[in-house]
Amino acid sequence: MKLHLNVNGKNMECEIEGHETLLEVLRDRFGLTGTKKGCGEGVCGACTVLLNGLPAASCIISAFAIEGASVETIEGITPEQGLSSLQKAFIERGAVQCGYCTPGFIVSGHHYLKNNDVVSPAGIRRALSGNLCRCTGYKKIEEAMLSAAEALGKRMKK
Amino acid sequence: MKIAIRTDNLDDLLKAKAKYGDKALILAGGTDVNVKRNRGLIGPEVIISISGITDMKGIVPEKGKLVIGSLSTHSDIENDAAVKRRAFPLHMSCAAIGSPQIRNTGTLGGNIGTASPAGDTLPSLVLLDSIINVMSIRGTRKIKAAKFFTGPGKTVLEKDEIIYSVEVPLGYTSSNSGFFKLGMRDALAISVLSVAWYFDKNGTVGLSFGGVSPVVKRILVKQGLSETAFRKKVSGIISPIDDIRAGAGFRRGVVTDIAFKVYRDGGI
Repeated sequence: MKLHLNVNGKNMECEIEGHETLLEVLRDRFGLTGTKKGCGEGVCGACTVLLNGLPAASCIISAFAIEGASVETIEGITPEQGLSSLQKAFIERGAVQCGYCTPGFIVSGHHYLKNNDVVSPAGIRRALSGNLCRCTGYKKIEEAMLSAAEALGKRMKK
Repeated sequence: MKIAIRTDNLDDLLKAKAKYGDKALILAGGTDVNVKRNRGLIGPEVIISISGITDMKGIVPEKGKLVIGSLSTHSDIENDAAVKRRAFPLHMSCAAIGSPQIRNTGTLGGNIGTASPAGDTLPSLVLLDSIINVMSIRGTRKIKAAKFFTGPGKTVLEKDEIIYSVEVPLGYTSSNSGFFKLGMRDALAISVLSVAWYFDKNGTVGLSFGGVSPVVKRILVKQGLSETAFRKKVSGIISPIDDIRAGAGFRRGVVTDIAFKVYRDGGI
């Protein structure tokens, strides 16, 4: 069947099978390989994308079910030139080691920072609670989020 | 899967469900269905995707209750001001589910249809005497949440019926009611057990328990029971089992401890 999506602001279409997940369509049909497959069960967050503006686990979303949806991936979140404040902060703060979970964290973190003018460590932790990292121990990821929040002029709540 | 159907129209859904019956699995958010499918645990012949049916979305206040469309996501419900103010246990239940990614996608109807003994919305729905509105090509039925579930993954739904909406009575605030989930960690952990409760004006305490029996159980007790009498009541209604998440003895001990603390202190 035919699937139409708006991906990173562009209207795209492709022929899919009923069993395909959004993750498979993004990676295998559209070549957007920034989104990673981790657990395949919606638990690790490596496959996080914004689906109609909200973080979602693309590995457990049936592609045929979201005809007409808008999807934003790590490729869409990354500026044309250079990196976003959050991406820079991840590098500066050592919040990236093997890097496999990073696109998912950036998508969740980007959504939180974009939608909250006042940020807090508790809010950050809750926003990132659907993403697992086996390398960094999360401390540096939280620091990177706080540092990006500061760079973006967010107000801090203790 | 042989057939994948997507519909934006309630009548078409009811017709498709009447045609395919048991062979058809309803796909709402997919957060349960696709996990089971990715693991190879299920392979339904027909999947009917219903996420485009707008009639089944939205949270509408009516006299003394909220009518919640079964396609409302856990985030929709968690963030709804009326749910938070006046159906507080359900707010807490939805906030305790999975992760932001899961809450943004998973639906109330899906949690009900999956009918897991550990489903986080079920203790709150049963506690508050919610009504589950089901629909088929033959008509509609109103079923009390307490009567809806018959076992793990089992409900009274007939093979042509779908879950249309849920009516949740109001009057349960953060000061007279609550919900507590015990999991291995805060996010993305299936409940080991859960407790929902309210205290009414007449000295009755309602408590319901998830993850400690094949279906959610509820008790109504008067305030002022002795600790021994209260614990006996709780222990008498539950039938926990050993599974991958915890042992039966642990569940029995902890759920009665939490229930007694709530009963004695008015919360946790």
